[in-house]
Amino acid sequence: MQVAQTPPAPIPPWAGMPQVLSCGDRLRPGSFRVHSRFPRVTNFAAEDRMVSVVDERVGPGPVNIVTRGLWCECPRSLVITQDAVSIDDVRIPLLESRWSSRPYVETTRADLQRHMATQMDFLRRHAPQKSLSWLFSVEPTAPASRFVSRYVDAVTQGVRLLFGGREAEGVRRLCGTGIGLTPSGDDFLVGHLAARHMLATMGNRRFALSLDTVTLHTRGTTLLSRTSLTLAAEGCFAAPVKDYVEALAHSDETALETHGHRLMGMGSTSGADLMTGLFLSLHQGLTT
Amino acid sequence: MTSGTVLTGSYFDSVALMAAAVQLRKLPGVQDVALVMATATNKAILHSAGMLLPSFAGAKDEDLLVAVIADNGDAAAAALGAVDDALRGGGPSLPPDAPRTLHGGVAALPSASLALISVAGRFAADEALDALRLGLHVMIFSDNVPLEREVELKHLARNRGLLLMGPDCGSAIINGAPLGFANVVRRGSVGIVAASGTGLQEVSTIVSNQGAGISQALGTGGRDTLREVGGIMFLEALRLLTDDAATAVIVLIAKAPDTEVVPLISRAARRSDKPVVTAFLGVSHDGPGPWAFSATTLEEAGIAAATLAKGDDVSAIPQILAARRSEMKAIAASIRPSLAPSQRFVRGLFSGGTLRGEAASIMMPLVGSFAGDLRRSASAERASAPRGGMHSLVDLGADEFTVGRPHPMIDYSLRCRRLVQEARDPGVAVILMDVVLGYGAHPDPAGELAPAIQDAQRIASEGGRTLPIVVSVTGTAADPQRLPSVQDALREAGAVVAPSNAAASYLAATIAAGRDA
Repeated sequence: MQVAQTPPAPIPPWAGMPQVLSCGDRLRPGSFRVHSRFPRVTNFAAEDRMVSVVDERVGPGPVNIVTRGLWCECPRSLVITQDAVSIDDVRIPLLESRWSSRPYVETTRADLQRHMATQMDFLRRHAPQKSLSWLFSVEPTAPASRFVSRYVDAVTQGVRLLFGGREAEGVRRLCGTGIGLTPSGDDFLVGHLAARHMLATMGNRRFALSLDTVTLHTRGTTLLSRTSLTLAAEGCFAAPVKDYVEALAHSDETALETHGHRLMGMGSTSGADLMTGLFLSLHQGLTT
Repeated sequence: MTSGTVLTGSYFDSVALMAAAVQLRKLPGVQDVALVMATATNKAILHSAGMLLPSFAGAKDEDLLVAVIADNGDAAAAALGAVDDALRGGGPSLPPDAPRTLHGGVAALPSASLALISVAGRFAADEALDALRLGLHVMIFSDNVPLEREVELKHLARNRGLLLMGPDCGSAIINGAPLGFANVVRRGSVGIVAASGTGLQEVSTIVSNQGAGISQALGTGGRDTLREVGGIMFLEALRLLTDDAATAVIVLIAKAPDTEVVPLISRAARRSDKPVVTAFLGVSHDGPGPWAFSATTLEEAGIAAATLAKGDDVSAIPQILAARRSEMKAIAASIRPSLAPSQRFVRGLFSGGTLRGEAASIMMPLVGSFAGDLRRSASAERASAPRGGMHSLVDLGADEFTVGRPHPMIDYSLRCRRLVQEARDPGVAVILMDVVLGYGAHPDPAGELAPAIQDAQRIASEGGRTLPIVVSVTGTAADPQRLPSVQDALREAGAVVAPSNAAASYLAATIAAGRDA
């Protein structure tokens, strides 16, 4: 005998409509215009500030709005108020709690040194060829062109100044040095600032972050980099950086490996450039 | 020699820039290439490499500098000419992981719950079938889909607990997101089910302009309330809104639903504990139904829904509408004396089928019969248009007019031509038009219509006639075109702008009838 089946209750199409999963703790209200688009990310700008609308695979950051169900390459306008974000006039309520971008990095010198030893090896093995990881190499490869040769010289000189007691001059030389929208020198400096944050938290006041130094010299780079550097100087980092430095401070090798791969996947060379800055600066801080 | 250029608004990651530089360096006669952001330090590096050009001086940090050292001008020019292709890998300017199929789209955005299909009608049903199989709700914007395919798809959707909006579903608003042609309306507690795109737009904008708002607005496609389809999706959408906590008032809109389908809707509405407002245009109501308010026009439905949503008394609505009609009568009375005795007929040039249906239901009692079948097909009008000696209302958005041509909400050229053509007919007393604003619609409708309105009135004037052109504008002040700006521009061009399509229709009929209607 055939039994008539009642159709299932329909699922509302609005059940899957765009929602905000998290908002960074450094988001401020305002009206923003599109700055740049990348797969899964649209960056918005207003005056000297930047906000990124990203999908959940990119993850949280101090100025990230993490969305689900939104084509993140497509938004055209963004307005943030105290309680909602309007993307292309679609108003999505904001969560009351904000994602915290400050890593908890209190650790011991011994633990940190132990983790660093393995992770510097990880960087050498996994860093893309065009990243700044050549700074660890004894013999850098021959530059491909006159421009690349000068670029290598500029980075090397900036790093020497940074670690040679002339930090401000080093920041000035490295800031904006590099090719893409976040020049490699800037990613290196974000790593450097993360290292200073770790060292300062471990009790060495000598490494307290100097916001003035950063803000003074970051005017000469792109808005996206300037935003990352200013936030990094305040101890605020995107999830891949925050999770990695926390793992470096507290976690086991497996977690470090996981977070290391995630950080390495940031941008084309950004993750590796940042890691290079982090390790060189930690090494410098721990051995002097 | 060194050559170069500054690209603004071009953002690429460093590997893409380096790869492009490597590719360009391989071109004959090219010695070196640098593609870098124009930061101060990068300019310094270019300077030290002998690649800094005077034209780079004004470039900002966000600009991309392209510098080329080549043996001669031709080689440098060739390299600069190849920059775009090198940066984009020779392919189209889409993101590298941009999906090109429905399956690719679902893989790229796994949380997506709805597919909007806008392809040539003959392919739309197959795409919709794929989307339903992937578990997606579907909105088919395309028209010219065979009726039997629509029925098949709607049965499948219902069996899977999904909505299939369309075919020819021009408008929907889901969680405030406008889909297809839709307006920027307030969010609120009025839910709409509409077997009519422009009906949905007219009612949702009236609700919003009245100070209430929309929770969800679901389109079903105009054929859903035909006997052959049986209102499958109309009933499913009504179920959804009945269960939706954010919806307090439900509006049902259809133009001439089949008499066999209305009782099904009525039964479903009885199961809802929420007030239901209906606007079933062209259907006579026998006695009270399960409706909180049974409207005869879209305007009335919109005002009733807003009134109920605000918790006000609907008994005041007849007075509101009576006051509006008095206002229209006064305008008609001021126009009528300027018309010649030969000017007796209304010509309606619509972009919305439901707006045309609403106009017909208002005008028929005042002016009598119209040319052609007002119920659905516009082909009769097209075959013999323009018509002398009769009233006529043409829906230029009907399938017959949109094969191989954009919808008249996007492309005003056909309407402008018809407007000028009608102006030559000495029997025409008044021309009635709708203008629909919102996403998807023409960005500057007044800019398109104003010259045609002026031409039409000039032609009539040369024939010793005055030609009133009555226009309604469906939209809100928050729409991209801005309702007040469009209304002002149309008035300035010489049109009489009415507050709604219903009011415009009443005004046009009153002018043509030449009596106190």
